[in-house]
Amino acid sequence: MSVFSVFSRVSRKSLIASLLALLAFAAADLWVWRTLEEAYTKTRDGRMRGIAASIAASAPASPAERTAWGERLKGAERDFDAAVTEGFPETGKPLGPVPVVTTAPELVALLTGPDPHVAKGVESAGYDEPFQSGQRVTIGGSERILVFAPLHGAPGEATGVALLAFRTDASDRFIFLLRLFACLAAVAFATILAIARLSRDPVLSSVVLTLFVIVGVFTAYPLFEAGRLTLVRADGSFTRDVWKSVFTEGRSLAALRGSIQLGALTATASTLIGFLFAFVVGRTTIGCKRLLTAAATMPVISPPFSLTLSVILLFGNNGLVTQRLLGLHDVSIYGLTGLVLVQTMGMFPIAFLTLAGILEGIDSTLEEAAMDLGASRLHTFLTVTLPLAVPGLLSAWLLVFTNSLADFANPLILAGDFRVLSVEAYIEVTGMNRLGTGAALSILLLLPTLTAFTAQRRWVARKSFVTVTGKPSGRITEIVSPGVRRVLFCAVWGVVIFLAALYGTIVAGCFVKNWGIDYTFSLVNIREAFERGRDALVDTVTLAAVATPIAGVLSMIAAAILTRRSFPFKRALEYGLMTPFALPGTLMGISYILAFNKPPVLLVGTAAIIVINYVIRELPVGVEGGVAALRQIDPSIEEAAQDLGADTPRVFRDIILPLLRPAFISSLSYTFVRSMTAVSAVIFLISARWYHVTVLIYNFSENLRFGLASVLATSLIVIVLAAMGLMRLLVGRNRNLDKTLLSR
Amino acid sequence: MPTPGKRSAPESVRIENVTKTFRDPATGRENTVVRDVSLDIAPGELVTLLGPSGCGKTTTLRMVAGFETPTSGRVFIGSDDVTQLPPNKRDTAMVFRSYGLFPHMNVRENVAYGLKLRKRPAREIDERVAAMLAMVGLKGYETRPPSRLSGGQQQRVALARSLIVEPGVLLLDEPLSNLDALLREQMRVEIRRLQRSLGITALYVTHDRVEAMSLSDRIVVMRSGEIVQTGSPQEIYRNPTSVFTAGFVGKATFFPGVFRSGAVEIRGRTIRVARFAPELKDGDACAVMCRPESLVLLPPGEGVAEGIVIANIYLGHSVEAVIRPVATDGGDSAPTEAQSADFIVQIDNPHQEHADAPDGALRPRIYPEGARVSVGIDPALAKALVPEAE
Ligand SMILES: Nc1ncnc2c1ncn2[C@@H]1O[C@H](COP(=O)(O)OP(=O)(O)OP(=O)(O)O)[C@@H](O)[C@H]1O
Ligand SMILES: [Mg+2]
Repeated sequence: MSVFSVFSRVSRKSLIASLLALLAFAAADLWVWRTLEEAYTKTRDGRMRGIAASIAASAPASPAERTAWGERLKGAERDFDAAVTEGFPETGKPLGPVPVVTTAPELVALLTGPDPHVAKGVESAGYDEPFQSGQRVTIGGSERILVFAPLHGAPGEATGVALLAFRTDASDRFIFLLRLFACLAAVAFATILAIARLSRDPVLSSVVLTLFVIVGVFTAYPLFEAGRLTLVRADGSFTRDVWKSVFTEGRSLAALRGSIQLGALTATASTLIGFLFAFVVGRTTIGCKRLLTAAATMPVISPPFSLTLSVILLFGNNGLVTQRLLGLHDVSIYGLTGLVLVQTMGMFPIAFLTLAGILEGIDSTLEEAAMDLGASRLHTFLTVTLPLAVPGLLSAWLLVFTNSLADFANPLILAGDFRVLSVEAYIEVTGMNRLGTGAALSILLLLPTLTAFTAQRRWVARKSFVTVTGKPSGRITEIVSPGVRRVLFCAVWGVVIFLAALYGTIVAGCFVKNWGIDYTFSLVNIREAFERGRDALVDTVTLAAVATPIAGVLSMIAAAILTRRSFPFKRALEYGLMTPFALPGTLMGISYILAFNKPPVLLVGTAAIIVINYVIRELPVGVEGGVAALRQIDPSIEEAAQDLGADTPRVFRDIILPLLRPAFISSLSYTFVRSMTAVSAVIFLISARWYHVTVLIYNFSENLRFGLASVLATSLIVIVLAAMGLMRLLVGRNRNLDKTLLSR
Repeated sequence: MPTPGKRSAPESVRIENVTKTFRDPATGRENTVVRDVSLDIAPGELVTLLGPSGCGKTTTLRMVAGFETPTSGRVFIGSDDVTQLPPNKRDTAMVFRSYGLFPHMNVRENVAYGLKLRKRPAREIDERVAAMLAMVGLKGYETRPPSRLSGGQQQRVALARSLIVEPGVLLLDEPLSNLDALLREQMRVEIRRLQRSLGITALYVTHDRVEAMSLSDRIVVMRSGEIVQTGSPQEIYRNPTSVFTAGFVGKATFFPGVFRSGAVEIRGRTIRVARFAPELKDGDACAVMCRPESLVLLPPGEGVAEGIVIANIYLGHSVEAVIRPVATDGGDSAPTEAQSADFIVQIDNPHQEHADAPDGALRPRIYPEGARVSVGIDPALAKALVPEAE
């Protein structure tokens, strides 16, 4: 049922009532606005007269002193220009012998010119009366209000005139804003009124409207601003310079190439390892599957920089392995090799989870049939298992590819001379203050990301051959020979042990005095890290804790509305809500600082901008989970509640939310974990007041304080694990949870 | 919503020229599902919407409940125009085809939900829920979740949940379609009893003619979004106004004939049918509708149509003989749809094998399969209708 299609059938009575209410509000609005504006102008005029009087009073009598005084007046930053004369100027006649003090020559010309308002002002001053001209004049390129004040040689007797020309831009802007707000208030009232009176379900309509506003203000507008900045100069004229420089400068193109190269290598390596894991878990009887899955979950929930950190500790210039154990001095982990290593360790779980579902879903009967027909094990694998997994492999590859492109933390520390787009964009913005180029680079990053993302969604994900049968047999016929089995076993455990070593290194890093130089046990790092990082830790947890419930509830509301209601532009809303999923964090961060560092939405430096950013970025995953869950729920359950008298909010609270509990809690934990481990967008948004631990970890790493960085990384891991454990307790074992977490 | 405390009186329902058009969001094509439907339901009456799948029954019901807004036309409950009211503001309660039980609440909480929304005191809720559960025979199941109930029990919970709020209008959308045959029959009686004893106005949707016949005060037959006939079960069965209704509400055989001033000529024989459609004029082709119980088997050549017995279906209280028509030598009309269909003849009291013929001889009532027979018509129960246009 359409919410907005009821206009045609609204009764005349309610329409008239609405119009009357609107008129009443408009009248009140007008009155408030007039009163405020009058009050403001009155204060402004009073202030101007006061200043004029005090300037006139402070003018010294002696010519010499007056010159010095004039110089002082000129030097100061004021919102007015002034001219002080002895005697009263007359039109066309030169001024008298006492020097005129002025900060703007135009004022002298004005005083001796033919302007009747000026003549009136001078006359008033002659009668010892201050005067404000209603006429505005332009001086030095800006509009001015003229105020005249009498100069007193002796008390009660005017001997000259002080003319002050006040700038009006600030007060004009204020008045403009006042009018704008008055109009906005009227529009808002009209909208609310229309919704409340004219639509059948006011709550639904308002929620839909709110979602549209959220998407418009916090997704569309920042992106628009980012795009605009790459095409428009500061003065508003169109320019192609930014893009021209991006496409001609070697750096940017090298970065684009680098990003794609890194993405392709990481995606390939991750898909291979992911397939290995998935194959072992899904198609063999090798034990410890729980442990393998848990090991694969670690990289996903651990904060950024942690793997980079441990790789540097182990293989860096002062690395434990490279320098201490092998005695190598001229190998560098910085660059493409190190990046591929770190990203692969961090992202193979994505490939693993994508593939695990598919490989587990393959019915063993197919392989049995092939072998029964005489195929060898290898042949069975090549002709049955592998082809069935191909869509999954493609899907995994593309997912890892997009993730690698969007990755910011690892290359930020580990890239060395190697260039990738996300880091280049960051350097342009924070290092060189070239926001336009930064925005352009992050938009450039969007191209391959969106291509891969769309390909994955549109094309590969749908091509899956795996048919979900009602009863998975649960029986696995191994198609590997004992020899191969041993190889697989070693390979998988090799990866797990390497991963464990990486995490062990971070923990070890906390307790070592000075890694690479002095390996004695010490707790100084822990003490110092907590001293210096306490505020940031508190901020981080606070921000994540605020964003989590908002994102959770909002995503469930959005999911319910998208699946259960129809309204105009539903598809647009759906796209708007899901878009941030495909946006690299760098782009989000840059577009947020561009959009929200100025009116009408001034948020930079506040906690709100960070929380909003978390919510917008993590919303899509929650919405998707909610939609999937709601598709399983018979709509007549909600209809039954509504039919018994529950209104929309009540239905949501009593029925939808409880039924969506698993999806809701998944969304909560997802948002929490992602917010605790955010960096790519948040690094642009933090301020002195609101800091994020991951940025602190980065700062410590940059300053080679790896011990401190390790402590903070470890504490983040502990907090996140604790939160996950709590969620587990709340929902019980939930496979979906890991899936949701890893879906990014 | 009914005023708390006061037992709400059964309401009348009035559907006025309601049309519902859905627009396919992908193609933008419009699809009119309910067309200009008008219906009055008296307080306390049970009216059934009967029609084939997809004819718009559920849509009509959902417009009364408020889940769909009519594209045009109005809906009244009592004297109030509720066309624009959302479901939660209407004094209706619906029993859904899939029941729509709240899976996260137990039986008691499910049934109590409506009263909780009405903010009744806890004591009253407890008492009324207990009474209602006793009434639908679910005592002892209070704390079970719906997932651990049988289909019939779930159905009764759904019914109890709707009845407990004492709605002005009870709406039921094929509430028995998920039950097995035996249970369906029991629940049919049960629903009828509850509705009667509580005196509730009810609108019942079904595509099962037996259900409609056995439950309703009045049946509304729908076809492709339109009402084709309204009447009591007897009226609909015995006096259908169209071939469609005749065929839909019961088994029927149609013999093509020619209408001649109050009588029908079938293959040369003139039969004075008791009823005929008023639109029929002299010389019009017509279809003579006969119920199985108004047909008899006769020796070949004696009836209005010839055929071969292809099956004798033993039903206990009767036997249904299925006769496949054969072309007769004097075939004067091309075989029509109605003619080529099998004749169904009901033979009551099948254990009596012979009937007395007018000449005093004994005639078989039942013929063996494969036998050639003729079918005779009891004109008192037959009706001449306008044939379906193809
Ligand atoms: N929300 C909707 N959007 C578009 N078309 C709809 C919608 N609901 C129903 N229809 C269409 O309206 C027609 C009538 O549907 P309705 O559910 O009223 O049929 P019904 O008579 O209840 O059938 P059944 O006996 O199978 O339940 C169908 O063709 C259906 O496809
Ligand atoms: Mg239906």
